[in-house]
Amino acid sequence: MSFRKFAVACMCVMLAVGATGCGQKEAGTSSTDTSKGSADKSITYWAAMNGNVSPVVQNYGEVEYYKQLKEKTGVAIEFLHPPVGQEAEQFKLLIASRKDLPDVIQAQWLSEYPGGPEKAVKDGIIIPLNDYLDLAPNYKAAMEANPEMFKQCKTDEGTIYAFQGLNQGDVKAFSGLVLREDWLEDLGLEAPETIEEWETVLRAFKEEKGVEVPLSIKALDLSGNGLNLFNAAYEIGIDFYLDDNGKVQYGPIQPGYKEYLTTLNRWYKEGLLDPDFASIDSKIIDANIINGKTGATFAWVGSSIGTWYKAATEEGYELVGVPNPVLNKGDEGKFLSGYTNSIAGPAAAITATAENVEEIVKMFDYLYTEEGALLKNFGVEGLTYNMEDGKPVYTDLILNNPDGLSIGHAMGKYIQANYGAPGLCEIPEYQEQYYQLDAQKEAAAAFNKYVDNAAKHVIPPLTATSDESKDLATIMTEINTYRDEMFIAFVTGAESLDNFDQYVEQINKFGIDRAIEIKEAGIKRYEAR
Amino acid sequence: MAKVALVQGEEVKKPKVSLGTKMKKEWNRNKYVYALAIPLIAYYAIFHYGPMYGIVMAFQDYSIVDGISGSPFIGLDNFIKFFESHYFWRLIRNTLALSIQNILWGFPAPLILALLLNEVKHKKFKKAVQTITYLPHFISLVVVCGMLNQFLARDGFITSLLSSLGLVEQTNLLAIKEYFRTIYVASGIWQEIGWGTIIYLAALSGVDEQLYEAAAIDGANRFKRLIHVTLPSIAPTIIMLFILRVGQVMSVGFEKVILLYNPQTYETADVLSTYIYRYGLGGSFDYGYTTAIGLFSSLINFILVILANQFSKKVSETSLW
Repeated sequence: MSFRKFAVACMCVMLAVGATGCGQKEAGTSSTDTSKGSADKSITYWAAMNGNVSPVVQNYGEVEYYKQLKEKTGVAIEFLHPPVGQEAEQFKLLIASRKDLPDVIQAQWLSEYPGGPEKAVKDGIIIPLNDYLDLAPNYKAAMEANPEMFKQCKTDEGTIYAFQGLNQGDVKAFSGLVLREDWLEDLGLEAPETIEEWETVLRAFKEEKGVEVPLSIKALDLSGNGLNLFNAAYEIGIDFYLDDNGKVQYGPIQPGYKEYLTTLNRWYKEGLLDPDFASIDSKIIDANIINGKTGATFAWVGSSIGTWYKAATEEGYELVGVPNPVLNKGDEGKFLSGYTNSIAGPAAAITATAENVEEIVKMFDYLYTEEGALLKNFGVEGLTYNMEDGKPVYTDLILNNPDGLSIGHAMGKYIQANYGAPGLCEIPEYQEQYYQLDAQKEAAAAFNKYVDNAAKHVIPPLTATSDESKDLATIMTEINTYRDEMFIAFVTGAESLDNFDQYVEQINKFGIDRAIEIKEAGIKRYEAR
Repeated sequence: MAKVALVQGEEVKKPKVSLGTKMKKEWNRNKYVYALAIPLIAYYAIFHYGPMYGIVMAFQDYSIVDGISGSPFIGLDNFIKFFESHYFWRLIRNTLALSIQNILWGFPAPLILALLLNEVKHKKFKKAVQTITYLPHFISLVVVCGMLNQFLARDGFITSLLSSLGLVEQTNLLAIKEYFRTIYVASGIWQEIGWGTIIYLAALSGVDEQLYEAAAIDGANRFKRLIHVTLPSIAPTIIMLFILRVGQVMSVGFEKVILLYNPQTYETADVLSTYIYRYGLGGSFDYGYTTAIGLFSSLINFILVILANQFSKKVSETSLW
């Protein structure tokens, strides 16, 4: 074969490849044309899938709620989902590519976009919605119903950048500490309120009940995940928090944190705290609390407690949720394990390249109507809920799913109630029914006992300027690694607690002052909104 | 390649031919060889040289929105920040220690296995051993690490086995920082030893049988034949592989470490690539800074390859270039 023949062969191959490429493209465009032709407006919508939904459907488009939403608003949504586990990364790539932005991006704009939502608007990625609020009277009314909520929906400059999930309920904490209530009764003990009582209970579990690991909690839940549990007894937050004077403090460098570590260190040495707490995963903890290898742990009211009750086979298995411990009996707690803000979950923003902005705005506005909220949280009457005495009540499709889905997954498949998303969230009728067991209802009440106090110590969602957020990220990445590592070292005794001062010194060196300063500045701007 | 060299040799002997004609002739003779090389050249150009312009990020205060063209240059600030980092020495130490231990134990292992296999005369047994040792290579790393997590847990089977022999305490072995490197290296050997023998077995099959016969006639026993015939014959292969391995000293892959470490073992387990991962993708998305760290470790790798090559040239007269 001469070179010419070879070259001709090559060209043929390339042409063939090129032709197939073109063919596909044409096919693609023609199909969207037809969908647009059918009167409906079609939009693309980028969103990370929630963990309650991803196990039951492939795409949000298959969720009954979104099918109904299309019927009601006439807007057909084509969802684009990043692979589970790569959401943050894919979001960054989406922004970095800039071309081919979808019409709507649903994300945690406050924490994920470098420089915050105001920067996203300035960068020309998303559009400000202030001018469109006339088209969204229901959204406007829902935001303004609560001044704190309205503040949180805006940036420091007053830009409304997205459609938020607006929390309607009073429940702020969805997790906390739980113990085996039946064991407490056997031992004649009360549910513990103070650290001292906790210690007595755990010791009794170990010595009298012969429990292998009386208390089992992941190290990250004790230090790194921003949950306030036993640290609350020492009147310090686990991360940034507001002290009694309203000043920003960083928990892990407070004197109280040393006492917290001392307690955990003592529990670890005595075998009260799980010796594997640093490497254990949730599945093992689940198994241990179900099988009675563990007597106390950290739990989510919805997912954990419900699952454990279902799986436990032991006669008389009972769990009790308790408020975070205090130091002296009769003290009032200051921190909830977590504190859900008025806005929660990802928010949907309209990108600068979107064409049907008005239709999109109108579609989202529907979610803030009473009808929309009912559709979102309860679904379709007769299918997922029935009206009883003027109140929506979930059907067995949700509560006792015939396919054996848990409540959480059944909700994920049909409606959008148990996770944050644009629209009215956590409406009281839902909260009453999501927790089916008495133990869950009581735990939710216990975890939220000091909600009024907690409100004073929690830092609202802040926006940082571009420089601030860069500094903050750099400083906190170093500090978080160091803190998590030292936390374990102090608790296991690998590092003597005498070195606590050096540890504080090191965190100061990383620049915690600057981080606190940034938070203070953010709060000032927040107050001024 | 041999053909190309040969053809060039002929060309040189012919006097007074212009460069243009020379190249034309060369092209006419060897065009298929060139055509064969095109995909490879394209691969390197597209996937290795092309993306290199991204190195610019190491000298920028990079922002994903502004991109490479829009981000401001900040000189060596990213490098300085890394050198001054609290974790700098620990990262270097851990990366080197893990890598060197990996070479120290992991490099000879497949060689020894290959030499042993080469001496096995029973064909079926040899094949069986080869198959069994290859197999772990095909298990996904995530699965391997999942298995390790199970086996090395407090009541895992390896832990139980070792503690019944009195070697370790009955505890989660992955939580003990002193064991991390051993676990990493040993599991690596288990997974890759069979795969690593392939290239040696290929080299061994090329050793001239006559040399063995001659050595046998001279009275060399099996061990002496191994030392004096087999090893020298495959020495170039060994050295080449070694130099290439040295060139990766600073690049310990992050996947396996991330799957095995926890804050309790950061002290020995946190390496450059995991640090880059946590910085670049885990929290602050500081691509400029992490590119600088990546560039820094590539630079050290590059220097090490050159040094290893020089060294081997001097000592054994074999080298990559």
